[in-house]
Amino acid sequence: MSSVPHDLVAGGHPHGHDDHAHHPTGIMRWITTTNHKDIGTLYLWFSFTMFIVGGVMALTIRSELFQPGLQIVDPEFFNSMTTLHGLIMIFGALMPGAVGFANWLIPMQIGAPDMAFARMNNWSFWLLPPAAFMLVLSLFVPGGAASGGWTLYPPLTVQQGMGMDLTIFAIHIMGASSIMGSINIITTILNLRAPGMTLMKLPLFCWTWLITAYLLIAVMPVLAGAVTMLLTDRHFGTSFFNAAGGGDPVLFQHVFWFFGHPEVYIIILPAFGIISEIIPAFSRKPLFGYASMVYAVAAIAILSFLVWAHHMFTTGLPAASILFYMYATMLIAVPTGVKVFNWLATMWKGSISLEAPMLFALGFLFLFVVGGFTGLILAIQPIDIQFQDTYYVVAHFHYVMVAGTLFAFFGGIYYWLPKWAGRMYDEKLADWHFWLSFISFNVTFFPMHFLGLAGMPRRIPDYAQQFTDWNMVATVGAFGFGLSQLLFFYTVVKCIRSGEPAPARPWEGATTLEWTLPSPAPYHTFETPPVIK
Amino acid sequence: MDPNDARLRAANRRTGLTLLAIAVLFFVGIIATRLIDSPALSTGIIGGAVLLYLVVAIGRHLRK
Repeated sequence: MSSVPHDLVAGGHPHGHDDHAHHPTGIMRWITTTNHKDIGTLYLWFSFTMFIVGGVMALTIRSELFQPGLQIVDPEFFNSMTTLHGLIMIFGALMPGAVGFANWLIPMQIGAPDMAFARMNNWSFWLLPPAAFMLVLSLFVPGGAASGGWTLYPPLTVQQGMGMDLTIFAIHIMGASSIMGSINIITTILNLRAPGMTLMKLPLFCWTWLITAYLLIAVMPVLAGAVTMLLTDRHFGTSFFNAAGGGDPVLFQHVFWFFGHPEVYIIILPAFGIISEIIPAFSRKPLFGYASMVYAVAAIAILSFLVWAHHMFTTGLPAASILFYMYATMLIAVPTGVKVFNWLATMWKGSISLEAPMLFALGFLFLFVVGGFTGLILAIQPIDIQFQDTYYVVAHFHYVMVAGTLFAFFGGIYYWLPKWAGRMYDEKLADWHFWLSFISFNVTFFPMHFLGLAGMPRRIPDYAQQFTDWNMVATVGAFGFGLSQLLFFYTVVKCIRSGEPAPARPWEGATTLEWTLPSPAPYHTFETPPVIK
Repeated sequence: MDPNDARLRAANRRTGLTLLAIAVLFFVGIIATRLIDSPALSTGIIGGAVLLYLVVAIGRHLRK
């Protein structure tokens, strides 16, 4: 622990008045707030709540799959669970979680007093709870919730009941929230940076979010357009995707994955940003190859728009298209490899300490690379034809989404919690959280590679007996992972309520602007901007 | 940098409206491609427009 790095800024007034008298208290504070820190907190708690809801659905799925045969839920409900689990985790947990980090950190890292559109920021958040409520409510309407998978492929989704309409409406609302959030983030980063902070001096977390926000503005309208056409097919007699009326269901897959593949990077890029803050701080070295990291993020973002049809290798694409999408997908490994290389080079000969944020960063690095390599394997079309819709794919994307994004979020929360709460977390509990999560995650998802290689299809509530053993192992691991997250909740609450007071800069290798502020960060910060040397 | 500064607010509004217009264009565009005679060509155009937007939007910052 050491003092605030005053050499980073000159002049300015790092924090404003810290009195809370100028805003409502109690519940009205949270409903009417336009403060980026409050809204960041709201996003993070909302994300955690949805993570628990989606997690309970995952445990329902795993309980049913503990042994072959139908034990706990009927097949329609099982399919609704897989569908809602995917939608809630992506739109309710991971994306809002990333926006929560953005709200808390971007203004403080660029020396801005708040987000550019503070009222719209409030609106962006408060659109989410009704949308999430609608998704969960769809379980209780006649016909049940959407059950065609999170990809919403027609013709199944054209035929389903009212639950599908609620899902489409929820996606519209969440999409609008994402677009508003993205506009806010881009405008804030472009227009509200402190004097002297050129773009190539931005912390890497801000860079990853700037590019992510551009991606969101490109893809969310495409998804909104696709589900709007689905809605008109269902209720207004159009036949965009309805083959019975001359439409083309495969067209929906093209439009969906034009959104869906960049969506993967929308979720992972902010995680890259978090990892790029943590690794230098705990290696006590500057990030290796800053400019190449920025260019790699840009390259990943642009390439992510050229690979969507690798999700459709079994739909009968022309051979030339298959070759293009295969090689373009492999090409993404190059900028991703640059990032992994730079993280390793940052650690090389660094003075590394293994506090919880660094443990999660290392866990991320190790497991994300596993997920990346299985992705490369799936990019090879002849192999993909064998593995399409098997548990191998489930294993692959959980290594990217959970061990990638979620581990980065956990690392980020432990890293910035002292700044947010003004108190230190219990290092021993956080270390336990990491090791329990790391082990139980691998117990859950690594056997799924074996199941997929043996040919077990995904999205089925029953299976052939030869798959039993690894399914039992995966279910035990899933409950272990779920219980580990209760420890995370306890650790965070304990920190907020009774943690040791945190200094302004608890990590001696942390150099970004937010660490020049006292802990907890005052309610209003950088009302007078710092000048960056 | 005063957030109440009129010039800053105008600049924020300009950036926000430009981005909103791009989002609306993509939303309308993807539906319009289904409604005109040559879906393959129009889809190619809207796909190209999205890619161009990204290259320009991200690329212009990389030079700074």
